[in-house]
Amino acid sequence: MFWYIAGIITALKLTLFPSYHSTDFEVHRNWLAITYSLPHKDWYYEKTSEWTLDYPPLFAWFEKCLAQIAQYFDPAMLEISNLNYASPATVLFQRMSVVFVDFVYIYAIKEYVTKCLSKTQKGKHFLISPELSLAILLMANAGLLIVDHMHFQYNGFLYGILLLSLNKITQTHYLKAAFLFAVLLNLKHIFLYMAPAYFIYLLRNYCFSSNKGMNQLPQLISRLFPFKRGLCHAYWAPNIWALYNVIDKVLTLIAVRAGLLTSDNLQQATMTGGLVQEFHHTVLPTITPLITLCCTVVAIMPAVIHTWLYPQGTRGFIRCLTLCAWGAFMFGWHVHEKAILMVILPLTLLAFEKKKDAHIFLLISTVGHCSLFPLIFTQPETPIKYIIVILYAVLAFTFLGDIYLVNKTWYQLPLLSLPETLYIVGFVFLEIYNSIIHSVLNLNEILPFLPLLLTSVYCAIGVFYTWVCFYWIHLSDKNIKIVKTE
Amino acid sequence: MTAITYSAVLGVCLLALLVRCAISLHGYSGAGQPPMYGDYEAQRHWMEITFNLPISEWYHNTTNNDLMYWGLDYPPLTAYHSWLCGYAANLFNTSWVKLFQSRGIETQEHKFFMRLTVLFADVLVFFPAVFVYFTKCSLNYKQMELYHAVPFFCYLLGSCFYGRGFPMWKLVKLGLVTILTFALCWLPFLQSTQSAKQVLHRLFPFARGLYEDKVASLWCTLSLVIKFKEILSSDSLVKLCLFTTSIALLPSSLHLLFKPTKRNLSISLVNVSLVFFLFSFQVHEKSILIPAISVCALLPYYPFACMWFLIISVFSMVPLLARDGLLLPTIATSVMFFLATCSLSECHKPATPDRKPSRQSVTQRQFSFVFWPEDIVVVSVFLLSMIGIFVLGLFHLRMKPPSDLPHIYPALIGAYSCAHFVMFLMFFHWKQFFSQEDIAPSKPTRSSQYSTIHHNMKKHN
Repeated sequence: MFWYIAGIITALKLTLFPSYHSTDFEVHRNWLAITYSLPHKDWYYEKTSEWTLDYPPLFAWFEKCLAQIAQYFDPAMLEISNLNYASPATVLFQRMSVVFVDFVYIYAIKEYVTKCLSKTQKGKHFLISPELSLAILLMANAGLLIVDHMHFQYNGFLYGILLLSLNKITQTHYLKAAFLFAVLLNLKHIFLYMAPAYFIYLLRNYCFSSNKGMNQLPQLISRLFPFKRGLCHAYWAPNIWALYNVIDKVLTLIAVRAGLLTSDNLQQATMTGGLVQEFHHTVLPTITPLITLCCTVVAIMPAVIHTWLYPQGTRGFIRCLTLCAWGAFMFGWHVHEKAILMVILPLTLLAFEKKKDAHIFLLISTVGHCSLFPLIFTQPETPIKYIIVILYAVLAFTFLGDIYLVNKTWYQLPLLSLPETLYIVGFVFLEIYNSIIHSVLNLNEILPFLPLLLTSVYCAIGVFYTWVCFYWIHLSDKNIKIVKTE
Repeated sequence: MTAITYSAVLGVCLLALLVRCAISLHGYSGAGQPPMYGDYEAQRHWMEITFNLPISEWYHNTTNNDLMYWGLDYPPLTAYHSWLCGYAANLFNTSWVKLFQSRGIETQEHKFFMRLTVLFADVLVFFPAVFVYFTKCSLNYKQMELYHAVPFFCYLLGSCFYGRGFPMWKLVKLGLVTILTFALCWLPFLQSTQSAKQVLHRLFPFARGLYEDKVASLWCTLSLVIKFKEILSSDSLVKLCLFTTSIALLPSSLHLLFKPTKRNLSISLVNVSLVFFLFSFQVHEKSILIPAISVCALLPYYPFACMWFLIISVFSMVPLLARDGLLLPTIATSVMFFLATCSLSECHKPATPDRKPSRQSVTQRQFSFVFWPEDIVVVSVFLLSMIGIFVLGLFHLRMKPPSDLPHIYPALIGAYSCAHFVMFLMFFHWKQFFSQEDIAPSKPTRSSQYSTIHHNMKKHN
């Protein structure tokens, strides 16, 4: 059954090949070209394209491997000067490569559901087994489908390795887990956000240390950590800074009304919204990278300390991991909206352990997936993004509602309270406004970024609320369970 | 219905919709191929014609209506549908239906609009119909649905005589309903016999010849050996087709007439539409979809045979689909459909004791069937047939045909499919006549019907 479903979802990915792809498609094509035609010492210096190599070395080697196959599809895509090249063969190859490496993710899911899922829930379901529903919810994750198979990235592959590493943690093979996580870090450094959780957990359960070094380190680091970019990405990821920006905006308007600010100050802060990435706050203090770093550390600390004081085996670890990623998402510098997947995917695993976690998962997966809507803005793909997200929500609510045997009422979504239900239903109205009413009222010219801003703020409220709830769940769980390696 | 059933139905509909939307991103018939383009342009042109011209001109060659450029050749209901769509198109963008000027329009927005019209029709008509089954109106929608008319006629006629009450009165009611529906649809064209004749003439274009392109019909396949087109005149060909089709229709229809059960209707729909496809004059590759839709309805009863038929029916359209650049979605959706059917048969597994029977899932009861037959010979023949598909497909797509036989691969694909269809025709006839117990009689409750099938299938194996 598992493989049937995996096959069906893979076939679905194939049908999405001609859909819109973002600049990330060109980014990865450029990296194929760089790694294929240059010696490795030049990889991080090459800058013909504006999309310089800014993933860690292992990912570059991965691209080099792909390029070996790519040459048989269309050698022209491997020329560095061939900017924005997207022949049908190139599209086919790049899309196929994503679908193909996704099998790492599918394999990791298979491993997890057969070996690692705790058996506490067994026999309580009526629709389909928890193993299968977890597998479906992971494989069919709406965010991954949108980001990988429409927008274009290799997240499924990366999360596959993360999941494999989590498998090893569950099986207490700590060295293998650490190895896989190190591999993951060298594929994409964003997983550094999860490193504190790994560090503390492994330190507590298994003494662990590691060293890495390279001559090119300064250049490499300057590419990997682009602090020259702004506080918020073009479209504000739904985090604290999105709320902060809006509060600043509102305060500015109030201050102008009250005559506390002159119109000169106002000019500076007009709603250029997305395109200009530098954002100057008018009333509130302007945020620097250092502040975001401090905030992130402060946000993560309680979770990490709690994991140190009350280790609770795998569940506690995954919660800590999720909170680390979540803290970084809430307070980090230049956060991408896609990073919410780092929260949603580990939470999918937790949703099948405890009812409380399932509640958090249902909220954040729906909010998080809705926050990805602005990524896909082209007309033909609009119905697809909505259907994917709604379908995923239907599956998630049905499966989990079935497993936890909630009493269903017609006015409440399973496991959610009435205000939370209303909040989720609010997305329908938000999207109706964004995709229909806004353009019918001809506001596109005057307020082009209003839909983005509304989505961002509305999602930020949900993400913030869920984060606080989840933190509370983690901190109030005080059983101690140390899992030593075998 | 429980909440879970609602979610299941919603989930299936959303998945079906998602697949449709994803496919709609791919190419379409005649994209970027002036001057005639393809079916996409035909449908758009009908919107233009019906929106701009008075109803009396729709089927006539006039200065404003060039019938040589995708003239309307579907029955009136389709024309009304086109008119509605044309009206909508005009609301969004008047240039999409400007008379003459809009020909061959190919913009992103217009493609999206066209795709949406199909999606809307699917959601409004096809999705509910899948739950309610076929409606009578489909006959006026596309004359090809005539393929399905004979079984409906026999079933309804038969049930007049075999039911309780006065047969004549039922017959009168039946006739009235049919005639009224037709009259309503055809009303605007009945002002003069000449205009009605013109519509009929447009609907049945005998002038087009025995077959177009290479198609998996019997005539096209036999013409690999016997050149009918050269031996016989077009007129006698029409008569030959009419005669053979009528003869071939008889067994299944008569059986249904005398035993008008729902079960016989379902199988007879397959048999009769397949006879039409194989024997009639002027069939198109796409016409195989008509038998295919009735085969889909039998999928829960004979999953293996039906799946096999459906794979072959898609294969018979491969030359057509490959021409429109739709090979990838064809393979993807076929694989999806195959795996979905297999996975439903997995649900068949007996309930474990720790599940309460009271809440045992509805999905389990409704889709309990075994996909793979236990007979190893049947499975190996199936696998051989699949290998044949693979090899022929590969040749068609990758190899250059010999210069003296440029259409050899499409012809071989047609013949290969035709052989399969003949086999299926015999299989379904055999099923209709000799295995009454396969599908339970007329009006049992839903669940008992399914459990009977399940029971019988097990007995069968």
